Amino acid sequence: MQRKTLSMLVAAAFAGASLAAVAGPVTDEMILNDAKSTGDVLSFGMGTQGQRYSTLNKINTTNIKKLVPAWAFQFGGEKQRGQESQPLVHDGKIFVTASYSRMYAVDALTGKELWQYDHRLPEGIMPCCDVVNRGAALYDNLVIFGTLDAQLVALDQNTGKVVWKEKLDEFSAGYSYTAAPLVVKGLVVTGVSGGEFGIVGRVDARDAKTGKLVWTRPVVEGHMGYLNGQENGITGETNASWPGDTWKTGGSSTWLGGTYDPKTNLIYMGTGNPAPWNSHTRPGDNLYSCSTVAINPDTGKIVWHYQNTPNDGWDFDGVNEFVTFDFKGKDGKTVRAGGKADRNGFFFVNDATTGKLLNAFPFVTKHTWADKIDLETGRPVYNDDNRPGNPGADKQGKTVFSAPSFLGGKNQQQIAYNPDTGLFYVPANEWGMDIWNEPISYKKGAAFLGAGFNIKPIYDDYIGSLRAFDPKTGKLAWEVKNNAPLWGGAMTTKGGLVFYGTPEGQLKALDAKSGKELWAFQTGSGVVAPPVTWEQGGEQYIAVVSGWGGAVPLWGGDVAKRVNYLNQGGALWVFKLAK
Amino acid sequence: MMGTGTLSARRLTGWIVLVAALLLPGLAQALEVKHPGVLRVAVYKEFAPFSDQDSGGIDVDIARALADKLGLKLDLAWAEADEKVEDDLRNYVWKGHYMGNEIADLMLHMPVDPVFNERVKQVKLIAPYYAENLMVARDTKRIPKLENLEPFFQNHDIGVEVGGGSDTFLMALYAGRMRDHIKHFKNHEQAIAALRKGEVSAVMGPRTELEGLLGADKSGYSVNAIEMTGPVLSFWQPGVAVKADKPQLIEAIKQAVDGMVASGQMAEIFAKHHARYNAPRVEGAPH
Repeated sequence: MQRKTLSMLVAAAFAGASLAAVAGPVTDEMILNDAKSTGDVLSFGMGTQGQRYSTLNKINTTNIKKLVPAWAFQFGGEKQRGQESQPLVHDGKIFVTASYSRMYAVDALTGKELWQYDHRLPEGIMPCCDVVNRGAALYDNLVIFGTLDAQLVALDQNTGKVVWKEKLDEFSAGYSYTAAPLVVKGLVVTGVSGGEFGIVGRVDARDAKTGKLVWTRPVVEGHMGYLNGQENGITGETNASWPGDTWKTGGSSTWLGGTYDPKTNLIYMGTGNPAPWNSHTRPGDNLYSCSTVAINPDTGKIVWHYQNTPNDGWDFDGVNEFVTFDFKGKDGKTVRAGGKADRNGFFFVNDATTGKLLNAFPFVTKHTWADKIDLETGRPVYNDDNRPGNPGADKQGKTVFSAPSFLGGKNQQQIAYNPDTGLFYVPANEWGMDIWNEPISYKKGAAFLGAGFNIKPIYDDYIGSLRAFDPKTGKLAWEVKNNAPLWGGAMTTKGGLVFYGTPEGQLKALDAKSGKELWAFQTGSGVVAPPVTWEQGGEQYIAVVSGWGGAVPLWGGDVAKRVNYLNQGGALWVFKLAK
Repeated sequence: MMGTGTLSARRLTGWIVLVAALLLPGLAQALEVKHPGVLRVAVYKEFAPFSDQDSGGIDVDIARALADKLGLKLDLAWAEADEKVEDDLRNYVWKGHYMGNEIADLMLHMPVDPVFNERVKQVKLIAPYYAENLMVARDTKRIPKLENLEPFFQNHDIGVEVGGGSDTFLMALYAGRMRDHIKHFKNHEQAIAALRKGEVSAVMGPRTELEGLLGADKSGYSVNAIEMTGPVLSFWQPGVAVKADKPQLIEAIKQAVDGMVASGQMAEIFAKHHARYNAPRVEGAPH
């Protein structure tokens, strides 16, 4: 009798655990259920939609004060720099990438290292924008991540041994990879990063188990896509929005990865700025630069696109994540939509099925390049005086003060959406730049026409601001200002909380409704990565990577003064409630 | 006192060493090179006819000649071109890249331009070793005479290196009327290959690059100047970048380069790589 009760209890306990987390190989079903399954974090964005919302509420507004570190794990090594990685959690293990293309597997309860993989980087590699990595993807028994020398590496989750390795592109031509891959229907989906001139952005899909290329889709019109080695149609219409042969070297790199919504069966990928930077040499929209492109994972074809900055002249990469959610419009109807806080300072809401613009509003206070986004035409209302001059036509030209700066109203730091509050949480930055033509410039030893710029804060008391927006009204619900620019992503929970980190080193928890700061912890180095949460053994955990770096410290100017005292680091912090 | 003699002898030895260090340029101490006996020179990767990892080139030969003159062993640093020369100077001459490469004692092919040098005060841009111009290389069968850019308004395509000075100049010219006839290439090597294949009728770029890439047999091709207006610099003088706090190395390099120009050694190097030699005019480009 007693024995029976015990075995029943054990069975019940196992059943409870299996609801929270499924052990063994990671399947497509598990990935699609990632946003709801509380016992694991299987994908970048805590679900492929990228909402960064957890249904866990064991840690909530009433007990958050008791949140304390459970353990910390140091990446070590001689080199540190920016740590922008989002950890993944599966089967009691945390998989976390680190700067210089490193990966660690750590026991999620104890913080004990299980294995470490140091990717061997070739001699002479020179990535443009720090040595960051934003995280990995899980599939089957594999943990897959991209490296600074533009390789995709799949490791065995249990041993850290290489199972397959594929070259995304030539690192010697300036290609690199820093985003977290996305897994959709057994395909591992990546963009490309790096390479200023002569590159063309594209999206690749490979068999996640073998690394074999299935399809590739360029995101600049005129280029041929391929499916299973066969031609699969040209992207857009050749020369429709690019003069001459400029589309051949049109830039538009897809360096921040993408999201996927099973409801629409579309992959959403943001695209970077067109090349060359001087917009006057490429009159036209320059499709599909600075856009969101929606790609069907089964066909490798673009279903729709929406361009956030046509004919970009400010380096407003449109790479920011398109986060899908149920949007209740002013007509009361609910549609599947996507929210995107663009580098250009505007927040866009598009129909996720068709791309139609539903709403657009500024999430920064200063946007000199455009007064607004016209909801009828879906296009920005440009302020022509604010476009940087044509260096081929004017001598020195005028200096233009342009806001946001080219580092963007938002950059790589991820937004979060909370369906309970209906609010998007945007780690925004208020900065502008002086930009001028520099006729005396040299590149590879030869004269060319460059541009000079200097990034400047707009306000004395802050650059960063964590802002909560209602996507329907565009109204700012609340904000929490920060002296240094924010560079880490946000996360929100059913516990009524918003978590985010600051370059000053704090991980903070705010009340999701009011923005009131409820908790903060000093991690010892700047936080430029998004937090995650999961539960294990009946307790809810929060994790974040700490380690100051990324693009901000690489750019001087007046912003440097606000960050140059910050120390580098490299640690994974895990928190739980004190008992 | 005991040992006075020994002390004096030591002092004397010290003086001899010091004087020798000042007189003999081969001593690392005097030349301010990073490693004794070695001259580390940065040259660009994949930059024919100046510096190619497989076939060498003009800059590689100059680097070797400078090392020989200074009595040092040459150590080449193959540089990856960044967005601007300022970045290259930071990565290879005065600071190093954060991936942890070793900086060089010198970098070649750096513009000796006082206005530009003001922006990168950590280095001195010295010893211009030739004068460079933007020019047009053309297929003389297709375009027998080139007096202006008229052929490129209608019938003929012209190749440029994407993002370079010629690209900006031509794309902006006459409110973009030539745009459909401008073909972009990753580098001049590919543009000249396209010219040889007949895919374009001409290529615009730095003269020495065009000539060197056309090679020994230039029959059927001609490289000429065209009239240029607008803000694009059509003339500049490549030289040597040295970290600003190395006065003795700077002096030694100036002397060595002057010597090579005066003796005709410099012209020989250019001739070997199939390019005409234009001696530098004065230190610094006119603006």
